[in-house]
Amino acid sequence: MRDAFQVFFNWVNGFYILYMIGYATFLFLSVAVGSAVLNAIKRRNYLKNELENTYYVPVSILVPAHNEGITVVDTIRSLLALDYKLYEIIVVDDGSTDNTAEILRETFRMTQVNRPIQRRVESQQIIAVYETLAYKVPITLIRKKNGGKADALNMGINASKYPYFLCMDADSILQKDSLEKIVRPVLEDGRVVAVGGAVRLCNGVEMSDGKVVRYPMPKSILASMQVLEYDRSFLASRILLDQFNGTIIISGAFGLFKKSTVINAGGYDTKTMGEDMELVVRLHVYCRENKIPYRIHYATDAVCWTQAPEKLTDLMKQRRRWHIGLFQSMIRHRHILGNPKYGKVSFVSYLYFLFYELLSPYIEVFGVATMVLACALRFLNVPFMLLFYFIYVIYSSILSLTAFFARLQTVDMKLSGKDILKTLSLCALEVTFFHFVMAWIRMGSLLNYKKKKNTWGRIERKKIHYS
Amino acid sequence: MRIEYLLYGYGAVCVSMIFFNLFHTLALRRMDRRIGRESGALKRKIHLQLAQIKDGGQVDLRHLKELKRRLVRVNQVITLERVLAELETEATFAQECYLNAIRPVLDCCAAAYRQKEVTQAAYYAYFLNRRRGGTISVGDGLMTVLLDYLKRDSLYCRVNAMNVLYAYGDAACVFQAVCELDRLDGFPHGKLLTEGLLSFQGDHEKLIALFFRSLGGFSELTQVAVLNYIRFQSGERCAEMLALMTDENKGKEIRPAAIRYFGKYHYPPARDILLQFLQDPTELCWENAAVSATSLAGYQGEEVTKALLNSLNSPNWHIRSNAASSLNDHSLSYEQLRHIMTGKDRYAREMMLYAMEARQLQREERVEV
Repeated sequence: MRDAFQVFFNWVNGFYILYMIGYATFLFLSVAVGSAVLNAIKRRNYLKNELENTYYVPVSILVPAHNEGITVVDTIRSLLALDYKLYEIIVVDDGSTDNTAEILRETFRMTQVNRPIQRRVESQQIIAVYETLAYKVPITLIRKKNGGKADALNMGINASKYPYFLCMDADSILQKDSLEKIVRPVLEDGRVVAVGGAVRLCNGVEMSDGKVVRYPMPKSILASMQVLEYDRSFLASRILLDQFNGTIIISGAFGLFKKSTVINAGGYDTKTMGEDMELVVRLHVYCRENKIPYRIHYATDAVCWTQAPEKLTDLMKQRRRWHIGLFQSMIRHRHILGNPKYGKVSFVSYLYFLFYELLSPYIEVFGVATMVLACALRFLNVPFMLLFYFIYVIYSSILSLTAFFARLQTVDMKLSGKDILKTLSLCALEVTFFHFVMAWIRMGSLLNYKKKKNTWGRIERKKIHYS
Repeated sequence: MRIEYLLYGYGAVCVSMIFFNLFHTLALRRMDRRIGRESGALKRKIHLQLAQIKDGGQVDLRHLKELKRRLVRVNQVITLERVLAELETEATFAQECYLNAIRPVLDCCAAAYRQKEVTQAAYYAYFLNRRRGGTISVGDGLMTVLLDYLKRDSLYCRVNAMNVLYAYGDAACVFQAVCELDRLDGFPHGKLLTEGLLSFQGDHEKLIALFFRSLGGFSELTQVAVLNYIRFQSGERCAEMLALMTDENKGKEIRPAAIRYFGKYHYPPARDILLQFLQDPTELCWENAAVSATSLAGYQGEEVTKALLNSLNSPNWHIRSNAASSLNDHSLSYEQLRHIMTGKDRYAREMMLYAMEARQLQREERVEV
């Protein structure tokens, strides 16, 4: 019996060594490439290798809103303050039960119109359309029957006038220069069909006239740990994947798309919770199947500020939704796996998301359970395990810090000494505690999947400090 | 192999990256301070030269030699740019003389930057655009250098070099550069060329004449960008545009670009052709029909109104929408619209109704946020 356990543990050991080498290598490459690219961009901008703000590609900004009465007005105000000339704002009220539509109509003095909307992609029935031309750019509010975020975005695509659309969340705020920056890759490369922007957490941040005035670390520890997590994710892995056109996720909070390509690919999938990732994977498939030269780009300097949940229950809802969305997207496009037609998208991006995102909570929890079993059967070299765990914590903390400081340095943001100390202490806590809590939450997200797959879960919103 | 060694290695590289970032930040700050100090020193030297010019003298040859030696380093170019920007606020005759005197040095350095890293070459082009002054013509040494900048594999280097040419206002030079860019598939987006040409400081009619002479030789992307530029710049090219609009051999994108021209500039001979496009029943030509529907907004007459009213029943959404919008400009009476508003075609009715509502909204006063 003991021999059988020995064989089992040897296999587990081998698997985890390979798994960890793969993960450590990916993270290492991500952070190294991310830092190098950010420094190169900074130098490029310093030497005026940039397009002046005089080229305007027309963009429709789509804001799907469901019960966002608290934040939606600030969001629209931030959009009106954008340093850009040629755009329109389309808010799609997806069957809100709060005062989202009323507050918008009253604040922006909107008039009901009988606007015909061409149904180019699937979406629910319209209840009413309101417009105003009284501001810098036209604002349209479409009230429709509830159909989910993807459905609301599809309605926005149908109503949009311009060849590119930008999707964002109703609880997010764009910096003054964000639109200009996210459009730039379209001007720089004619093949670009989608551009993802950097999403940062605005908890504790103060903004005025579309610019960040104060940028302290959030007071909430949970939100602070998410800041570190976002930096690692947005600044590191996405830059690496971008180097070989391997981006397979553009956050629904901030992404620019070429409308004609999205319509031809079928628009947003209304049956998935991860409509943002699903669309990007589908664009890869559509362009490759039809031999269309394409590029999906990540713009590191285009910034959108969004709220991080500060309550653990809200965070759990959010991560559960993300994990189910990831699962749905990966299952739907499973034919990509190991298919040489999709090149690095298949062999790097898809594999990474499969092993280190989708399956990682199960692998991690299985690892912990095996360790407990090994300890009980006295197979475990405890001093070595502790050393290994210590190395893991130091290594992961260094990676988080590298990503965090690389971002701060390249965007010329300043933190107080207190915040730096907070960051240093939190990064260890993030990799030892937060990471495993997240693994546990994500592992549980697929339980009762069939029952929960279409429920969104409400996350508490707070007013954003925007003036 | 022991796995922890691999992790030690990775960790060491990450620690080095943190230190690299810190040192990089410190180095940048130091460089900024150094540029500040050097700016002060250079400013004093330039003031000496300016004083000399004011006294009837000339710029020292030694000063020019020193500039030439310094400017091969991009940081020194940044320093000079800062000093000249400060001096710019008090433009005097002496400064103009000084800039004329250093121009050969700047041109000489421009040649040296051809061989340098592409970001530095792009910066030098940016610097030339802001500070060189003077003129340029085809065959000049600097023109040859700028053509070489266009050949570099960097969009920014190309855009900055083109900006130099637009600023100098020599139509032949810009034309030659656009030919070169077209040959190199230079601009990924037509907007870069259109907006750039609109910023041209010279004789636009001369430049447009050059383009029309060889338009067919350009790629379709360049042709459309140039036609868009002409549409925004000149209303004097109706005859040429009419020829393009009626040429069936022209590319799919070129004819709509020509049709748009007649939406902006009303040209009676174009009216019948626009009507033909609008009434063309073939599905393949819907883009021409849709653009014609918009362009016809400015053309009055019963025939035009009738064609637009008929287009409201078009199976194509864009044609219907554009026709409704154009009909609004014709200020039709209810009687003329009655068969649409009371007719069986719900889509046509809705489209017309919305066009009228949108016009009403447009009339409302704009308010500030």
